[in-house]
Amino acid sequence: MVLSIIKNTKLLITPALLGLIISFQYYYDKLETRRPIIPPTIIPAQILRLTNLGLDSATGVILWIQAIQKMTDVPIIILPKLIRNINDIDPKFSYPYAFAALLLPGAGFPDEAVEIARIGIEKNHADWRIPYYLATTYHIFLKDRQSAAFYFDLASITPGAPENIKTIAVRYGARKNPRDQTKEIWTSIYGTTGDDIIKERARDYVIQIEILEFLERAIRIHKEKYGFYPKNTDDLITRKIIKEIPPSPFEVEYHIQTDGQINIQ
Amino acid sequence: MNTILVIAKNTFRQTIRDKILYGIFTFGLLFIGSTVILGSLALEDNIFIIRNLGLAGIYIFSLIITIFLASSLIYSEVENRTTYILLAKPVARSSIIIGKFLGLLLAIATTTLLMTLAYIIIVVTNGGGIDYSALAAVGIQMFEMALLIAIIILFSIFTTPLGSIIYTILIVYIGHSLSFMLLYAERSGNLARSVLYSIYYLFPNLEKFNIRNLVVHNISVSSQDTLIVTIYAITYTVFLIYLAQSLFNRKDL
Amino acid sequence: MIEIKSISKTYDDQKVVDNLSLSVPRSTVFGFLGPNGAGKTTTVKIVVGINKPDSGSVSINGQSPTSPVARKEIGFMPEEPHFYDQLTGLEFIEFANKLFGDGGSPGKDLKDILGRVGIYDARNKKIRTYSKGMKQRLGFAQALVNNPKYIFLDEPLDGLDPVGRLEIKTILQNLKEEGKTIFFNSHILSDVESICDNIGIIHRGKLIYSGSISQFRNGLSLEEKFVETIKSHTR
Repeated sequence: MVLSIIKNTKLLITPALLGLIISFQYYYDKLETRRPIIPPTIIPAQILRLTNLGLDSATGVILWIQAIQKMTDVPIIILPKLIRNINDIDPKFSYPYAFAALLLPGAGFPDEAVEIARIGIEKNHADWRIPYYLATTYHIFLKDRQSAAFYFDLASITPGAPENIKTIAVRYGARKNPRDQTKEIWTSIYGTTGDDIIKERARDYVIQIEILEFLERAIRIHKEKYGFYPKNTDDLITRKIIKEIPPSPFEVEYHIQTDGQINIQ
Repeated sequence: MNTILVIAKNTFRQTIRDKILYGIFTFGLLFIGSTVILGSLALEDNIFIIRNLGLAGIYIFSLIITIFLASSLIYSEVENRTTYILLAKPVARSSIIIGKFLGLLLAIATTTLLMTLAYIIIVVTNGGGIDYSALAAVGIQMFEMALLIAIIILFSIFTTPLGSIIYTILIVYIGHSLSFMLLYAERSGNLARSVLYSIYYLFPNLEKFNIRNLVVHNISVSSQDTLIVTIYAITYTVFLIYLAQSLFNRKDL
Repeated sequence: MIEIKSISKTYDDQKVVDNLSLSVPRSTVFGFLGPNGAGKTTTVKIVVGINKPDSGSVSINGQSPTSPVARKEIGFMPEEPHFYDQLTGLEFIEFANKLFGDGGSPGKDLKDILGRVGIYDARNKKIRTYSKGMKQRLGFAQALVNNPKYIFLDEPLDGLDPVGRLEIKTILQNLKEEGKTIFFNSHILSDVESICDNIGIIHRGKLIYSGSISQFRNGLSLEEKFVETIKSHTR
């Protein structure tokens, strides 16, 4: 009887030890959230070159995948450095340049975006996205329509640019309404990118512009009905012109100007 | 000539049946397959990612297989003294060296080719078309492997098998970093400079066999470059094999 | 006829073979005896052309064994032979045979040889699975593929059980009757006694006796005389 107890205990040892191992791992993971997030170490491209047996482009690709995965929990300030490192190790890897050109300004780094994009254009003549996204940034964030026009032109003559991009680029400057133009640009970016992050951002901008258009139409209706412009957007609801204000993808405040145009804060 | 081919065929048979080779090879295939997943993580340009990591994988695994296969073959020859039986036959010592080299080369070329096939299928099924330029990259890579096989054979004649593995790995790293050595040389004094320049020219310059970075960006290699690379590879390999068989001729077994 | 003339070989400042001279007449069996480390294996490796002597020369059938062509008439079985483990016994024999080009045996003869040494049944199994005795027999077999006139064996009966030893000794006897010249190393004196015509005794690199067995024994048993001789040379 004692022997059978001992035998049974022996059989339990393996699963027991395994159970302990799994529990400790689980417990360790739970504590993970309390640990400080360590910013990623950026190993300079030169050092990577000494160890990667010449596989520069593959290294760039791995760094890029890492950067994307970490993009959400990395302090934003690291982003330009990460992208620059990728550019260092593979100057011809064009996508990070384009990505930086379009998204860094939104994160607060418009100057970095411009610089990175300029380097990208220098090193990579074949990717239309870099000048196109740079032009977009000039148009929207830096309000520099001259530079925007220049880079739109460049994008349109780059081989491989899709037709609708070319059309937009060519007609830039001819259209009077900057907001229409912006919407058109963002729509084109939405249609030509396979990148989920950029697609979402473009869609958000288009939605935001459409909301503005919607609200401005409502303001005009108010003016026609009551003879004066509403003081704020809530008035549109209380006076039953619109049911509700559509939720904005960016958290913005709407201010109605005296001439009926909407301003965003 | 005939005995060389007999030995080569026998060496091929002996190495291609090694079970550990299959393990490494399978890992290589799994890695190439997994590049699809990595490609989907990259937001856009997933063919670019697949090609990049796929070619890198073919290179790394070929390297591991080459170093492992060559040194374990030589190791078992040395440990087991299988060469005694060979040497008493009407076979010249140099034929043994050349035959082993060719057999190993063929075995490694076969496994590399199979991995490349897997890679091409993956690229095609992910919409990238048949990647002909990758074949060029792998072809030129074989020159590097041939050089390394010759180096391992040469080293194994006068050091232990473990020693030849370590030295070969060192040579691989140095061979790809030689351009940095030149940067150093520029800033050094005269003596150091001549030493560094000599190392630069005498060491096998392996980076020239790496056209992967060009291939993934669809930049073509000039035929002049290809010609020079080919001649360099053949000359250096012949030189190493010649050294190996001279040393082997003098060696007491 | 095997002629060994004043060969010497030094390894690491130690003279392993010292001015050794021997001749082995055709169609005889010569037993090369000596304690462990005496220089037997070194000698036989020089005689079959694996290594070169520091001085002196060897001639087999009038030719030096250092040229590959001369080795067409030789068969050699090393001590504790090792093979390519991933090959089968038959594949290995075929490989050894192909190295002779035209001088090798036709295919079916190879199977006969394997049968003769007693591993025919294992011919399609990988050498990895062979026992020591089987490897020993395979080693013997590969020495016979070219139907050599001169056969050199280094400890051929090592690792064989009594049945195996008898089988191999019978083969050696048959080979002798076929007119082959056989030179073999051994430290097992009873084997030597039963098959050899002449013997040579090497001690510390020097040849201390060469000639017929009966003359050597001088009434004593081979073992007694052998031990006595070694002891007297050690003093």
